[in-house]
Amino acid sequence: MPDDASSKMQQDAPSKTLYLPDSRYSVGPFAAITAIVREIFQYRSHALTLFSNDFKASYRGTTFGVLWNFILPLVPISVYLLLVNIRVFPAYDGMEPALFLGFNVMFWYFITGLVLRPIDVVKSKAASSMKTSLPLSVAISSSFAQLCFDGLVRLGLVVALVLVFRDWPNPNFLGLIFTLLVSLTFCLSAGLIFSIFNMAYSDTQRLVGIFLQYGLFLSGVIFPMSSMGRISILEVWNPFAVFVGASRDYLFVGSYAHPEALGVWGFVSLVMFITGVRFFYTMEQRVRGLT
Amino acid sequence: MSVNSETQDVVLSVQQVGKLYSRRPSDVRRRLSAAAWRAFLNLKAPAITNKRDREFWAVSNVSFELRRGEAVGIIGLNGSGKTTTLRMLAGQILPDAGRIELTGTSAAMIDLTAGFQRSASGYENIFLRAAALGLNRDQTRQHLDEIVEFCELGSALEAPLVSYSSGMQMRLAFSIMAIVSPDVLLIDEVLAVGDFRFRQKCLGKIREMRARSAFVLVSHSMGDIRNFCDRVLVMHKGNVYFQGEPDEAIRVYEELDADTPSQTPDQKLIAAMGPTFTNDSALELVEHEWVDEHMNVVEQVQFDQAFALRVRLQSNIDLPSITIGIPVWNMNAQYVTGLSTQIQSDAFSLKAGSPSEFLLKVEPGMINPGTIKSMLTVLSGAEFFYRVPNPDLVIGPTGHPTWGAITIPHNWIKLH
Repeated sequence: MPDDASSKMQQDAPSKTLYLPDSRYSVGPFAAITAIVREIFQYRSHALTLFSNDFKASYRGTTFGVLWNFILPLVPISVYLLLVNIRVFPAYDGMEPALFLGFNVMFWYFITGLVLRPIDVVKSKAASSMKTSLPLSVAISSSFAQLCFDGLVRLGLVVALVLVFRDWPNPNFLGLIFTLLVSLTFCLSAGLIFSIFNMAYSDTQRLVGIFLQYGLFLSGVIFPMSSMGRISILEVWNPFAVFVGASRDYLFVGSYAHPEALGVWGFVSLVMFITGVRFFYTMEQRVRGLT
Repeated sequence: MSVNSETQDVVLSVQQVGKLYSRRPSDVRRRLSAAAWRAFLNLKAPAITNKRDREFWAVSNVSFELRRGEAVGIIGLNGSGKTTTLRMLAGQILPDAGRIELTGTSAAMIDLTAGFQRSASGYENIFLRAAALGLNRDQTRQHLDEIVEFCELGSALEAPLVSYSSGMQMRLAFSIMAIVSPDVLLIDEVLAVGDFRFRQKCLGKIREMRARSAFVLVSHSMGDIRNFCDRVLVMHKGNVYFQGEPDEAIRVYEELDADTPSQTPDQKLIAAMGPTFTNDSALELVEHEWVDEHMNVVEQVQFDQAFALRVRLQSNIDLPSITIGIPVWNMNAQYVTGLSTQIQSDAFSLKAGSPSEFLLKVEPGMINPGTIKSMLTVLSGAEFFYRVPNPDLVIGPTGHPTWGAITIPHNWIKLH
């Protein structure tokens, strides 16, 4: 029996909807995925409006206006580029340091955004979602639109660096697409799972934040894993190191040194995705109204 | 009207619905974390079988049915559980006990901001709200003139919603809802913010919609309740204090104050029996009825007559050990006794897919005359699968006097 959002209309013959204390517990993973996709499609105009509101609100009242939305995403990368220019970092395996860092930081902020944004959104919108009847999945999608915008701005800078340094990519599209799929499903699933647990255990958000701050340095984003001594063992055990390394190497080198590790993490991502989406869908109604 | 068509006309069925709240956030988080872990591990939902001191039923044992064309009013003092009930009916929050079954479509006007974006214009919000109600842009466009005409907002529709008064927001919200014409419309006091003329227009529109829709209306306007509703529930301290004709309900409501006890004897009994619970994915085709010694279904037995409870069910999962319990109450809400399989040495088991039948035999002359209320509960370990009242059973009078609720077997012997 399907469970739907509070206010809903369908043009079909009368359907039955049950609201029970254990609603959605018996929903399977594929039904949950379909239901969430349907929700997002139904409320896509809301998601776009929310994105547009948040986009405008972020620069409202400032002197530079919309320019801030292009400047701020570039700040993290520009800090590292500055450090490269004053030669704080060594030369990297065959790549321009600026490009190495630019790409890694762009990719890192994109995939970790998929973890952090659902946690933020569920925390901030759970209370109001009960009143607005807007599914939390819609608010999360709208925040992903902002994440995509930031990612595109950073990608623009990476393209500029490629042009400046003439360090042309040698892409392996199959590997790159697979890596992107694995990274996105892994991070999205983690984000959905943590977003719900954060409502029960408020420490979750802080712990994830700390973990990712360390992760920036332990995932080969700033320093190549090969230069990190004993920590280099994380090259295959740390999924973020695998995702960052594989995406960069499949784009610029055309091959990745640890495809088996990527395969294993791909399997883990699939399991997490199936579990995470179902878990989020089951619990979404239960966190509404909570602060 | 035949029974069958009456059943088909029921668009909203509410059975013993309850909502548990807590005064402490830590209790809420505790329950949420238990639910989260069970959902994460793909286990069944935890049933609420006990509550902590700081927890309370904000809504308890609300039951009613709503047929197409009917309007039910809900009235009560502030904090009596009206809006919480409506939110559960709208699916905005889940009940912690009971069951709500909606046939067809529903739309709720509980919060004026629901489905709206405050920074978008009135026009854009028409499309947003209609999208939330299931209409695509083309369908909404077809009704746009009608909506604009009904809401009478004119050029204000160009302005962002943030500049609207509550009355203007209500006009817009109601106009969209009227076009959609759902099977069940849930309205919570929001009409009160409209001016008199527009409120009358809304009530007129609701009257037109009655051919197709059913309504649940929460209001403090006794005039609207009296003129518009067929039946009225008076809620008090989370319970349905009275349910009946509007005039009588309004009289009961006007006599209520904060010191009025929350429950009538009937409600005490319902509260004593606690929440109901079913898990259709684990147990289905459950039937339970009282039978006499010839296995005929009965509603009444004599005091000195043996009787039994016959339980038929089918499990969808293997359950190597189950407990079946029958707690029994009398009409004064006194817990009389419990008849459980736990006192037997052999545990019952259920096999997935196989129908099972059980018989609980009760010796004659044990339960004193009067009506008994009881509940069939099926559980395995701490996990409840079924908790639903049995049919009432009347124990007929006896020729000798009885005392208390039960008569235990006894004999007087003269020794000297």
